[in-house]
Amino acid sequence: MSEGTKEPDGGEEKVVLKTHDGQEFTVDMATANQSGTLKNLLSEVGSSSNNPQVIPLPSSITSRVLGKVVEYCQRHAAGGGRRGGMQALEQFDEELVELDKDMLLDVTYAAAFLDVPRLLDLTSQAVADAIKNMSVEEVRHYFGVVSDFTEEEEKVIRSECPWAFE
Amino acid sequence: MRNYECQQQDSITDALPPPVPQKLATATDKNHEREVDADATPTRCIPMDIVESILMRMNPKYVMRLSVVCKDWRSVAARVEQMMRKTPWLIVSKYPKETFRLRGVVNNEDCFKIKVDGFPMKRAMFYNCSYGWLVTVLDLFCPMMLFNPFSGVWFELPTYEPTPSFLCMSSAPTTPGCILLAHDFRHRLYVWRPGDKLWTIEKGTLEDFDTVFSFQGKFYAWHCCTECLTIFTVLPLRFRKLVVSCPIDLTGYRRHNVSLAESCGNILLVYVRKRRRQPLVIHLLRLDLENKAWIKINNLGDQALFMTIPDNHVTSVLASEVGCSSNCIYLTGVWKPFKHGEFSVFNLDNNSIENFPKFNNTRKKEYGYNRLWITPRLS
Repeated sequence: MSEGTKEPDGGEEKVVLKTHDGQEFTVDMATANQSGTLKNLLSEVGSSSNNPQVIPLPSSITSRVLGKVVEYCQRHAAGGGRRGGMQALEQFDEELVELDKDMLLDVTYAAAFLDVPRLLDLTSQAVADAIKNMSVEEVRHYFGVVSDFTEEEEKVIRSECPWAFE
Repeated sequence: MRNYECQQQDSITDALPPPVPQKLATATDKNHEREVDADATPTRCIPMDIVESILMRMNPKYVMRLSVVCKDWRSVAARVEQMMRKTPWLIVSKYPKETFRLRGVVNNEDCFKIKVDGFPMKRAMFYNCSYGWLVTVLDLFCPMMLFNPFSGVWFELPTYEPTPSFLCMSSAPTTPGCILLAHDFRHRLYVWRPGDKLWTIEKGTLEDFDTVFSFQGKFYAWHCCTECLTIFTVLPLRFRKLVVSCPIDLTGYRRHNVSLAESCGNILLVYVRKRRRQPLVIHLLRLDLENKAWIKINNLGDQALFMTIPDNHVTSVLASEVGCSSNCIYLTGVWKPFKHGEFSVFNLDNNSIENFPKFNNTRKKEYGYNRLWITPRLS
């Protein structure tokens, strides 16, 4: 997906998403409108096929991550009416979030930043499923978070609902 | 640390806000005195709204567990807990086991257990549940007990022999305005409020009723065969009786369950009736107080009701918020499951019923089980 600029076809309105590492993704408006952030932005500035708007993205959204988001948005902009209907779309969603940890979190951040609610649902659920059987220590490691509780504080919280730690 | 800065490249860059999350869980402490070892896990900023989005998709047990990750996560977990209070779970206890099993309705394979320490489970059967609290009476000479299985907190209500029977409560028994009602076979009303050392027994009595519930500071009691609706307040007992015509013909049904409920500001009456070898019938009525009539309705709109039989607190939820099916009544039975399901969902769109069996799907009779709907809360 990160093959750089794609040629716009036809006279449709287009928009170019440019990642920090210089890759450009040209997408149609239906795809861009899947993102609340882009939709708001484009409703203000507009875009055309001859002179498409270039929207630079923050460095946290790499071309690989954006590729996933664009793939999702394109597929969902087309809806269930294409390539096997809703069932195929569900399967597509399922396969889309089969990612390694870093990629999954990055796509989650990108979905939150670009405001693609259903993609955020999808990735949040995937993260929730990934961490649900982990211990607290494993979850801290997963997210790279260090506890700011003292040992005593943690003990008190754990004693409030011991059943949660069994 | 990830860099969230946006590079100024284009004329419209200014319009795109830099994606700095409001609050970050950082791996350094607040004074930056202690930088984290560079060899440790690569650090990452986790916007708290994403943590919230993740925790919202986990069951209460995991959310509680993850509230010790760090202080920011704990405050997110507290917010998520507020949302959890809206979602009913099926809570199943089996006498005399010391664990509760909880089962989700959104994803009904979502299941977790709560082990109880300190509560005399070996002798307890739970018949009622309101606002996250279970009610039990061990026997006629033991005081009524309230037990919150999520916080593990339990307390005894004042002793009175014989112990009156629980009717309803107006809110969680830890909230200041709560009023808990009980009665005895002589139709006397017993009132308890948080902090009371004794039951207050009302001087007046109420006549027979089949169901009672609390709504906006008043209590409502309904008696099917006299079509009498009593609206009352307590301390002291003041009541108004109304004859409210009800278009439901009860003849021919020996067994039925009737419950008063509240949904979107309306007072509802729900009749659940069953004849042998015939499908379940549910009648839904809305109170028209002005015209003193119950009006038949067949649609709950976006709402769903969670109802335990026999007469128990009915919870109405916004289905889209909770993730369950709208215009449905989720049913379970304290004593007896419906058919062979642990719970059943009655769909008002087409009057169809779907049964949700226990996972291992054993068809043996299940004695000693209690099933109730509970909305988890920690206080």
